[in-house]
Amino acid sequence: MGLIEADTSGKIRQMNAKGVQLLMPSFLNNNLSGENIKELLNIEVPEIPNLIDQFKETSGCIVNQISKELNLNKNGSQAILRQYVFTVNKLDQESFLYVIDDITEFYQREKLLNEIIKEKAIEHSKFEMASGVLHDIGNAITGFASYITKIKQSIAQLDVENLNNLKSFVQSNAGAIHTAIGERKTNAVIDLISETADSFKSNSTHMNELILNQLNILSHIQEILNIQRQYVVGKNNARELVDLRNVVSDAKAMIFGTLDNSKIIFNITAPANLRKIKGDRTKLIQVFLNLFKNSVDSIIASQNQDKNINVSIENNEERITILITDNGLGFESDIKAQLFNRGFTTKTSGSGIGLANCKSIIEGHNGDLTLDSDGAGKGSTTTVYFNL
Amino acid sequence: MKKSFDDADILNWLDKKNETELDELDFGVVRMTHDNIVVAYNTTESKISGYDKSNTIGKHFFTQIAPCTNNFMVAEKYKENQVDETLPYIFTHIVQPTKVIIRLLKNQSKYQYLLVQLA
Repeated sequence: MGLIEADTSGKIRQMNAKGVQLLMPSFLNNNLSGENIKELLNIEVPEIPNLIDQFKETSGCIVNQISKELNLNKNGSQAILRQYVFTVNKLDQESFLYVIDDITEFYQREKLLNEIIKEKAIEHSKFEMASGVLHDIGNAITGFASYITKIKQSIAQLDVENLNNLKSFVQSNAGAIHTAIGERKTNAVIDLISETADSFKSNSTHMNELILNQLNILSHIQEILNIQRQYVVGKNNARELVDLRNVVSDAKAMIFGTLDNSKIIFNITAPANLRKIKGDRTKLIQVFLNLFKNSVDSIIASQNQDKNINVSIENNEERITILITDNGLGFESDIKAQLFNRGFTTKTSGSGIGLANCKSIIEGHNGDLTLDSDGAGKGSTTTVYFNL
Repeated sequence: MKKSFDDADILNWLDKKNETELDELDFGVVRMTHDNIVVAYNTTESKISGYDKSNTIGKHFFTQIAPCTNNFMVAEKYKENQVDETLPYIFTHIVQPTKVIIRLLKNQSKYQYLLVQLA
């Protein structure tokens, strides 16, 4: 750092080499001889001489690190800007110590750091915004899907049967109607009703297909949204200690209605000393819910009399393993390789994103997910493990 | 025929002088390589700066001898291929702040020079 000892008027008594190195360009810039520090400060940092003049104590710190950007090349075409920092101490009635340093590098580093912090904040708010948008779209889609489901239900209620009843009524009373409007007209009425009923039926089948397609598209969109949400950093993603037994029980509770309706027996076995893992509870519930739903769908499709899903949780020093076995459809070994491909599905109404998504969530928890089956009709076993 | 501090073609003239001849000059002369390493440091310069000649040879002038000149006004100028500039300056390090006139000299010649005169 540059050190200068000067008297009250600013006349320099002593100055170290660094002081000259730092200030000489400024002295020359301002056509000053370099003998008086106050002359220079009056031009470059006028607040400092003001503070010195106002200082009435016999000694003490007058200026503590005032920072100022100086142009060291005022007379040249290209400015040379340096950030200087000044400290002034009064040593006694007649002596002042000026401390000067060039902090340009620190200053710029700090500026850069601030910019980085700002960028990070912007990035974070982008994530928050994305998260909010995904959430809102998700809600809108859910509402949309429930309206379409309502339309589907009301179409089913439009009763083709009524028209058919009308037709058989006219047919059974054909004799009486003949006498009233004539045979030709009666037959025409019967034909009309019958054609209307047929076209009504085919229309409603067609509409059902269309609505089913819509619902499939919507559930596909929902799955994509769920995947996107995983990559959005939010405050809900905090990892906590998770008890996998609770996760499995909670996932089971969510499909309790289906299990009950379809008369599926669902068993969970878990050791008493089950260790907890660090993880995202919500995502893990999603995974198990998805896996259980797959088993349920497969069991319902198999039309077996016996309907069983068994979940067993095992615990050792290295890992926690969860086996889900069902006696549903199972699959042939040639399908096994494709099971986790995004877009692969054996279901008539699925997007094929579920399993791939589940696998990536489990992998994100330092574990893995595999599926096995002895063949078509022989059920399947899903193995999920977490390394400890 | 002696040349003076502000003679126009002084650099090539200085190049031909040996150390003894440099010592006879009434202004300070620092002879450096283009890497700023001191090759010769005359007696007058020694008197102005307070540096003993023997302590200067082989040292880096702007960092080891005269850090007060290690800025864009002086040291940086020698990065150009050619310099001839005279400016008022203050020398301090071993001595009290001393007002001087310095002249920076550099061309295609093997050596560059810094000349010093008391102001």
